[in-house]
Order: sequence, then C-alpha cells, then structure tokens
Amino acid sequence: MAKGQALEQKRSEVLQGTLDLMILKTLAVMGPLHGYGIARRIEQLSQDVLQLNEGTVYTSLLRLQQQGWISSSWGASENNRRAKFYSITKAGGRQLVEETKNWERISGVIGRVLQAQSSK
Amino acid sequence: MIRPMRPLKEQLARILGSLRRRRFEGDFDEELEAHLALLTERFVQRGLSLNEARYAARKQFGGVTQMKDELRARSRFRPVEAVLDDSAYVLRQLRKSPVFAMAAVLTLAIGIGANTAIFSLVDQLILRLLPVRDPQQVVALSEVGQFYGDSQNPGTITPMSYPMYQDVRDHNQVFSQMMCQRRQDFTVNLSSESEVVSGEWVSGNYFSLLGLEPALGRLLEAKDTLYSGANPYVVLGYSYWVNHFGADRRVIGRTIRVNDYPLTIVGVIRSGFDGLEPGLRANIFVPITMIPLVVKDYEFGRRFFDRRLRWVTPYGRLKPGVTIAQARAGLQPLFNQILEVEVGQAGFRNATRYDREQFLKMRLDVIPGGQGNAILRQRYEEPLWVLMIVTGLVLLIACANIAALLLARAAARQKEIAIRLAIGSSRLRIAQQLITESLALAIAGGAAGTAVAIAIMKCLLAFLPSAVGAYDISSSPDLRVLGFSMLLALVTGVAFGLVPALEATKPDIAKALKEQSASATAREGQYRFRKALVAAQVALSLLLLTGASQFIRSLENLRSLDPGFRTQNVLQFELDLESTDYDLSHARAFFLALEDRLKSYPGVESAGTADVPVLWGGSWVAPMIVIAGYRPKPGEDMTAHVNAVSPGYFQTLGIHLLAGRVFRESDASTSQSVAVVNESFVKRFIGNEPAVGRFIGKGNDPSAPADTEIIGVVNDTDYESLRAIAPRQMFLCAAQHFPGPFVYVRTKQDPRSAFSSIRKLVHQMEPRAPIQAMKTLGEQVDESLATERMIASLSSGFSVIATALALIGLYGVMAYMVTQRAREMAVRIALGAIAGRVIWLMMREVILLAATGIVVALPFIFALNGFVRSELYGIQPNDVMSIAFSVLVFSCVASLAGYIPARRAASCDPMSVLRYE
Repeated sequence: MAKGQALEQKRSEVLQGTLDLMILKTLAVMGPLHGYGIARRIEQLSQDVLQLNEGTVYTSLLRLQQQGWISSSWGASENNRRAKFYSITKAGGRQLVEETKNWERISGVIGRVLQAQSSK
Repeated sequence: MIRPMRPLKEQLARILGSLRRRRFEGDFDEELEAHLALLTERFVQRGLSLNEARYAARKQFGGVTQMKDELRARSRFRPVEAVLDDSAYVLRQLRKSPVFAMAAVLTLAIGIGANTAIFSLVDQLILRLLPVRDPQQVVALSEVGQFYGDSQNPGTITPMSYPMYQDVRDHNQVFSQMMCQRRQDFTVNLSSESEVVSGEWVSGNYFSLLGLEPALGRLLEAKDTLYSGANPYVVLGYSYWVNHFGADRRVIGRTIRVNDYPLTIVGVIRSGFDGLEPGLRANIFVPITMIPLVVKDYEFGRRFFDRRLRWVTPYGRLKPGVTIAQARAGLQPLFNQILEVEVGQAGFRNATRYDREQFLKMRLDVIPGGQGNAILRQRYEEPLWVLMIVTGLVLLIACANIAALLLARAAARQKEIAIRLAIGSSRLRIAQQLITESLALAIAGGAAGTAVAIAIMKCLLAFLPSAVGAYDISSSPDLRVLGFSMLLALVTGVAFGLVPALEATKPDIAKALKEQSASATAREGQYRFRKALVAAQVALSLLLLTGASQFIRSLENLRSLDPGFRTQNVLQFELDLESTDYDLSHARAFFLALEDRLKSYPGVESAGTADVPVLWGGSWVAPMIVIAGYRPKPGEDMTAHVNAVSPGYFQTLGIHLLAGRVFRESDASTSQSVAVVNESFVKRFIGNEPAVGRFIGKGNDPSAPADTEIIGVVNDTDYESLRAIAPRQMFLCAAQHFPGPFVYVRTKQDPRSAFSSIRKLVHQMEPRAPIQAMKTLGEQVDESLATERMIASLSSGFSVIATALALIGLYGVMAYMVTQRAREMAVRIALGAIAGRVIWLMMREVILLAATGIVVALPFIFALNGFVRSELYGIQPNDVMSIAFSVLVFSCVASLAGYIPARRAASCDPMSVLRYE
C-alpha cells in the first residue's frame, strides 16, 4: 500500500501541478462548480489536446481544499442531483495570481530554451 | 507548483480528516458516483446504449475503486489512523478478557488514586503560590535572634512590632511597597446569630501590594490606615459574600457588627483570593488601625505602638530586579540602626547587659512570601512527603503487577504475534499495538483513579483537626491535579507496557510457531523478568510494611503516654465574650457564675475554665520568671508556660495537688495575687525547699516584681502536645487575670450526652456569645495526634494494599511456574518422587524470590528510616523489632502464596498431565 502510493505520486506529480492551476483558474472564471462541471470546462478548453482521467480532478480538488485554496459545499446539480460545489477562496485567488506568474515565467524560459536548441 | 514537502496545513487537514473519516468516505463515494452518472447520461445522449455509456464513462473517469482508495488515503494521516485502528482493536481485545481488564484497571486506580490524592494535598498546601500579582516578588520579613520583649506568633513567620514595621517601610531602598497583616478570628453578628469568622487585620496598602482587584465596591487603600480608629470599614472575601450575603450587590454601604463594633462594608475582593494563609480562608479584612476599637481590652490595642511587642507580619514587594539576597543585604544596616535607637529607649531601662548584647545581634531575614504564612504547610510538609513516598511505592508495585499480567497475556498471545511477525508485520507495529493496550488500561485506570482520589481525599480531610480554624482544602481535584493524574497514567502506561511489549515481539518466530501448546511458549528471558518483578514487589511492600509498623508503634507510644490529666468523661468548649459588651470584671463574674451553674447541673461532677486549652498547639510563655531569692545567670532560660485557670480546673482535669491548696473563690482581684506551679517548675527554680509561700513574678526582665505567692504545687501536665516534654508551668488565678474562654466539664456519664443540654444552659445565660469547638477531651487528644494518626492509618492501609498486590504477583508467578514445569513434576511423581519433595522443589523458588526481595529491601529500609525519624516517637528508627516482625509476617504470607500452587503441582495426576502434553 505504502509503495503503491509513492509510485503514483511520482508519476502524476507534474500533471497534478498543472491540473491544480487549471482548476483554480476555472473556478476563478466560472464561479462555483462541481467536479463534473470542472471536467467539462477543462475538456472544452483543451479541445481534446489534453487527455484527462476525470478521476484525477478529485485528487486535485482534495489537495486544493486541504491547502485552503478552495472550499466546498453541497448543492443541487442541473439534473437535481446532490453535488458538491467548489469555489475559490481568497487565499486561492492570491495563489492563482502567484502561480500564473510562475507558470508564465517557467513556460517562457522553457520556450526560449527549446527555441535556442532548434536554431543551432 | 512542484512541492517536495507537504505544508503543515495539508497535514493538519489530513489529521482532521482522519478523525472525521466516516463522513469523508461517504462524501467521496457519493461525489464520484454522481460524476459517473452524469458522464453516463452524457454518453447516452450521444446515442450510446446504457451499457456502452457506462463503460465509456468508466473509461473516461479512470479506475473508480483506485480513485476512492487514493482519495481516502490522501485525506488521512497514517499515524493517527494507526492509533485509531489500534484503539479499536485493543478495546475489542479487552472486552474479550474482562477479568484481566478489571484487575488491571482496579490496581491502577488504587495506585494512581492514592498518588493523586496526596499530590492534591501537596499541591494545595506546599506547592501552590498565592493568586496574587507576581508572587515571586512578594517577600516576608522575619526577625532572627533574641528579641527583648513579648512576641505573639501568628504563624510560621516571626512577627515584628508595628513601629518597627513603619520604620522599615518608610526608610528601605529595596521594596516598591510594604504592608503588614495579622490573622484574627472575629465574631460577626449578621442577624440574631453570632458566628466566629476568620479574617485578617491588614494595613491599607495590603491589596495594592498584592495587586488584588475588587469584585464590587473598593478595596482598602493606604489612606485607610493612617489614623487609629478613623476608618470603620470592612472588605469581604468573595466566597463569604456569596455564602453569607447571597452575592447581594447592595451590601456596599451596609453595616455589620464585628466583635459588636459597627463596620461598614466598602467592597468585595474578586474570587480566588482567600487571604495569606493557604488552607485557612480569611473571610473579612479589617483596617489594622481599627484594633483599639474593635477589640476591647486587647493587648495589641493597648500596645499598638509598643516596640516591645511583636505581633504583625510584614510583607514587601521587591523592586524590579532586586533579588532576595540583595534585599537582605540592603535591609540589615537599616535594621541595625533601628535596633541601636530602640536599645537606648525607656523600654530597656531594666534590661541586663546580656539582653542588650543579644538584642543588638538580631538579623532581619527576607524570605519568599509568595506562598503566604503557611502554618499548615509547616505542620504537614514532612508528613505529606512521607505519604507521597508511600503512595509512590504503591504505584510502583501496581505497575509491576500489571507488567506481570501483561507478560502473561503476551505469552498466551505468543502464537498470534509470531504469525503476524512471520507474515511481515513490523516489530514496531506490533509493539505499538501492545503499548496502545497498556496506555488504554492506564487511561482507564487514571479515570477510575480520580474517583478513588476523591474518596481518599475525603478520608484524609477527616483526619485534620476540626476546630483549629476553618480549613479550606478542597477534596475535588482541580485541573492541575487532574493533569497530574493523567500524566501519571501515561507515564505508568509506558513504564509497565514497554518491557512486556519488547519482550513479546522478540523475533524468534520459528521457535514459537514450532511449540504446540500456548503455555509452553515461555521464554527464559520473560520468566526471569517476571521473577525480577516479583522480587522488586516483595522489596517494596516490605519497605512499606516496616514503615507502617513503625508509625503504628510510635502512635501507640504517644497514645499510652500519661498527659498528667484524666481524659475520660471530660468535655470542653470555647466561649468567646468578644461579641458582648462585657468588661473584664463583668467577664470574670460571668465565668464564675457559669462554673457554679455547671457544677450544680445534674450529671456534672465539676467544671473549670482556662485561658489556654491543653494540647491545642498554642502557648502562653512568660519570657522571664522572677523568684524571690533566685539569681539567674546571664542568658539563663527563665521562661515558663503560663495559664490562667479557675478554682475548678484542677479537679475537672484530674490534676493532683501535691502540696498546698488550689484556687478558691475568695482569691479575687482585690486580694493577694496567687499562683499554683507544677513539679518541674519547683524542681528547676526552687529545689528541695518548700515551694508554698514563696513569692514569684513574671515580666521581661529581672526587675519585674515578685509579688505573687505560690499557694500550691500540682503534678506535671502536657501543654502544647503529647510529644513535647511537660514544660514547667505557672497557673495564675483566672479571677485575678483573664477568665475563660475555654470551659472544661467533668460528667458522670458519657460527656457526649450532655452536649446539647450544656449548650442550652450557656445560651440561656448569654445568647450573644457563640459556643465553639465543643468536643470531648479524648477527641482533643486524638486531634492533637492528627498527623501521627493520618500517617499511621494511611501508611498501614497502603502497605496492606501493596502487600496484597505483591502476594498476587508472587502467586501469579508461582502458578505460572507450576504450569511450566507440570510435565517435569508429573515425570518426577510418576518415577516415585514423594509429594513433599515436589512441594519443596517449588517452595525453594518462592523462598529464593522472597529472600532476594528482603535482602534488596533492607538497605532501603535503613536509608528511608532516617528520613522519617522526626515522625517517630519512642522508638529508634531502624527499630530491629519492627523490621524483624515485618520480615516474619511477610515471609509467612509469601510462603502461603507460594504453597498453594506448589501443593497443586504435587497433587496432580501424572497420567493426565503427560497424556495432555
């Protein structure tokens, strides 16, 4: 059990990181959403570029919640099912700004590095 | 966004998550199922069949079960989880063996309860600081050396004269503030009933120095004690206000009569503060300058500014940064100056050169005052530490017993543990589980122990003398004490659980699994450990037994002492006329009339009064006796204990007249001053010449007039306590000095039957005077032995419990050994060994164990006895008799505990044992 957990963490670390950022952004833009809604929104925006196991949304949500960046409450979904709605907290908003900057800086650096390599 | 370390917040969320596990799991399930359902619907809308849609949804979602597992794992904190799992497991296990659980919890409850009870007393009387601002800064001043004049000791701290206090207060450089106080019992008249209430005389800045706040109104201030008699105010203690005034907020401005003098209530102190003497609650606080008006004909009132009378206890608050040593050094020069001035004053006119020299050598000591003036602490500190050791030993024995029980249990579970080790469980994990078990037992024991502690506390408080003052010791444990017992429970839990846990998980799996019967899986190491435990128990309980037997013997010695008076059929009470308007001559007449009325009362043989009661702990000592024709050497101890008694006193107490006569009614204030002295007095000051007819006197120096005629000599009697040797005594005639307030009545039958009728009679004569502390003289004697009785009964009670525990331990280990060696014994018997031989084989082990314990205990017995020396009376510490006696008793019962299982081994049927194996 302990071993399996460790492996999983290694494999999904990077994806989780970006997924966290995407979810935060989604919630910031769309307001409160349930897990299904978040998965749909990401699917729509990624336009099939990103193949996502939708279950991983929930690990991400749990982690964000444990950090205090999002909060959750029960409500009714469109088809009147009981669903848990997530919304971004103030701390989450600050985190989103921070991480967005961070992401832009890193992706910029990576882009430049990759360009430099191809021009050689 | 890549984080190698999980932040604290996430860990916390996990810990919380573990505690709310159930809810979380439900959450995940429902949430994920809802998501799947929505996905499925979506695929159905796109035209897939329901089954296909379901499949597609699961595919897009990923493994549902794995996801649930992962979420669950992520939302929990493993160690907490493990503890919760273990706890549930342990509770299941314990429920399966209720006898074991009960035995363990009970044993622990006794051990922890006894410790908690004694600790509660230690805490309340010894450790706790007063609830005042920065108690470490508060110090008391105490004069050390030979004072010239009179001292009225109110507590453990030597008092000071009021003018001396003023001088030090006004000229010192080390205190930010100084105040003084004195304890006093007041008679308060609220409605028709008068009641004696303990309180304090205080200087005005008492409250500001201690940093106390009013709950209502105002507290006294420095300006309230500037002028004598000018401020007739009183401040109430919080609980007194609640209990006697129903917490009425309108009490401010109300007038109450204190010693029949009207005082106006100006304020109530906030709750928590009960005066400066722990255990003796002060209920009212009166400006010290009111003494001349509130107490009539009272030495302090008349001699308020007399430098030759010490009676107030001064306290100071150290300036920030000043240490006690610095304060001491800073005060001494000032003190010396004041002494120089005093010695030149009129009060020293008749002092000898020796007196002056000694006086000028006095020191001023600065002692920590943050615990107040603790009479109770001084009196009970040593006994309490003795009891703390006793209960500590009981707890050790209890731990040893439970460790043995756990070992036996672990042995029975050997196979289970071996299998778990074999299939890969870590040793740590199993040990953790076993420790959890012992902790669970310890916590249950701690909880039960708290209940036991309350019971023991109640019984302890019953030993404290009832009338020495309003003892204010709580029997219900507070948070500190509860914390103590829980800490104790946890420490013991680990202490008795650790070794068995490590022992049980020693990884020689193969051997354990190979063995066929559970009982045969014992290991030599475990067995040796159990034997060591039993030997330790034997040693500890023997230690307790010898201690207890010495305490009991010394109590018996004290009880069998002849106090010099007869205690049977005598009752006593105190009648204070302070609340009446009687003057001295009126009071004398009243007590004479009372004595007459009592004497002629049916069932009464005689009656008498005394100023100082016998065996009360208090004393009246005259600093200097003068005897016509006796020249004292410089510095010779010329003190004598004094009392003022009525004509009927000697007959009532059964004190024998050896020469001359006792007082008569004709000895009055107008006639020749007369005195009766005791044998020791005669032996010391007069020798073989006839004492009757000699003239003596008392005062501060040899110039006092020898104007009192000795009219009689009586036998020696104990004065303050049974322990002290009977002092030389001088009895003055009550009619010529102070009448009452203690009344003794000798009855023909049981004096208890006369309590109510005598009460009625006195009430008829003077309804305003409250009767206090009515009891038999026998009870008074018992109360004077309260400490000794407390130690003797508690230590014997505890040592019996300890011995019982040790014997159970011994029995347990023997019974265990018998099952271990059953096969060997069966073979021996089958081969023709006689029963006696088999029993001897077993008994040899018992004797060896007991002997080891005894030998180990002996040096400790000798060491500990030195510590309790001061609690013993009439026996040498290390009294060989009591030690030999305890060893003998112990050996007998130990042999019995071993004999029962040995007998069983010898009487077994070899065939059935061998076949079973």
